[in-house]
Amino acid sequence: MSAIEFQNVTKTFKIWHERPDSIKTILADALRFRLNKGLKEARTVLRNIDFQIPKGDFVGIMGRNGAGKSTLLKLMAGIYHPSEGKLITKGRIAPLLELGAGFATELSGYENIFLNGAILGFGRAHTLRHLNSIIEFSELGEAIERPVRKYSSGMLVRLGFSIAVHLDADILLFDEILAVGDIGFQEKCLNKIRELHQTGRTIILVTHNPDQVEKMCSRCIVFEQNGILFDGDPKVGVAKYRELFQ
Amino acid sequence: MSKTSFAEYFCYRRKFLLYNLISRNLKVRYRHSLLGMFWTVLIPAVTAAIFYVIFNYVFKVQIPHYLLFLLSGLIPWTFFSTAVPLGTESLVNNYNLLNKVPIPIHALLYAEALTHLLNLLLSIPVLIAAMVIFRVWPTWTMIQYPLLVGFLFLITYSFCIIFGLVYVYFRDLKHIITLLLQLWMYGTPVMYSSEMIPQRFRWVLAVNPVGTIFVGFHESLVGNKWLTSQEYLTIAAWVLFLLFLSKYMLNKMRDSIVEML
Repeated sequence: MSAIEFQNVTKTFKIWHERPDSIKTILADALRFRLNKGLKEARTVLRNIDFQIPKGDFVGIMGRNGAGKSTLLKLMAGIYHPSEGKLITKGRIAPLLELGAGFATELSGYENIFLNGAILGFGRAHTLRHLNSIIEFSELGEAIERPVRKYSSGMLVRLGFSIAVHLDADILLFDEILAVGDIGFQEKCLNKIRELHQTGRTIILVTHNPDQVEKMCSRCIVFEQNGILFDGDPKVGVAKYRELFQ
Repeated sequence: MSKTSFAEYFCYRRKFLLYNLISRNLKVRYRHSLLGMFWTVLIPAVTAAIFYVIFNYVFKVQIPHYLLFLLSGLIPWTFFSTAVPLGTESLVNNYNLLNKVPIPIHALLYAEALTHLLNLLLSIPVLIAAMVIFRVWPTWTMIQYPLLVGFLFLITYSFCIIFGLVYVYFRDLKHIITLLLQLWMYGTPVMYSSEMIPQRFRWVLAVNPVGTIFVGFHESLVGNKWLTSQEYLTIAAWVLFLLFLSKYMLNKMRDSIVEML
């Protein structure tokens, strides 16, 4: 049974060059007899992506900056939608994309736990049940009561990660976020990810760290120029990734 | 992606999410504020007092129980005129959430509209106090009032969606709405009664999506009258038109709006 299935997915973004988005610029242009409608251009970020991830897989995703990795994760998370093709996901997805993933910055860490739980589709009882383990794992202590906008990047990762891994999501998406925490917390996170993998969760990890992929993943996908360059054994994948930069 | 059904449109299965979004709205708005939510009661009350002094003593308006009359319109107007601009900006202001976690975009707008509805409900005691002061006793026509608040809420939510979506593409809308709302207030019977509108301008009431509703706010509370079936049809037509328009726009733009933010 596959947890995530990409069926020939293409993702394009519309780009406006000097898009006139205010009346002032439109008027200024009109006065110069130059009605600039904005050049619309489609930029393809992912082309004909076709693969599936079976339930319980641990996939490492590698590739240059701008190869489309983050867009891929946002598609999986349901934040973006395919321009063409079809994407099927089964199960609850906890995305941990970028720092401060989906926090309301004015609220405290504690309040954000509930907001995040609600966004992921969990109820009050479920969130309450996992509240203590989330706070404990994050090691934030009293800082949990402070507004999130005062958090350092390390603290943001601690909170975001703790929420994502403790709420029993079936699929977890991590986008290069672990690099921010200190080594102690990084180790703790990696161990937690391993543990989740062992209990049958599907894990997708975007990383630039070859060691992590070789040691932890059961599969590696390397992206290059908006498509899949390699999909298979992590050791071979890492070698392909290194070749990109030679 | 499947279309948003009306049950989803009102976040039927996402009550905990709504609860959290509303509680966040309230906390953000009233944090570091001494009077807190009391402000939402104070604003229409003070506005009504100001208008009362001006229109009663300066312009000598001949409307019985004029202060109550003012309050019955100003409380829902305050709701409408604060919810619409804040709803308009809501998607853009919540970029951080929308771009990083999967959250149904209309949930944010619905929560915004509900937050203001909550504020409106908190102002109801002021209305009741004014009724007691003016010795206006409960009548059957007053049951129209909550019904009309419900209609106004549906229209407000629809406008939040329509303007909120358009604002992502067209940022000037914010300033246009500021002006529009000023014009809108004078084009709506909030401070004056519908009878004061000259015959040749009566059409403005029907063209104004909230016009007839505000006639109803006055008549149900102070005029002790039932709205005519024709007036209810006008209201229903506006409510349905705006609901379907907003739902259509939401389904059309929902999947691409986050990448446009």
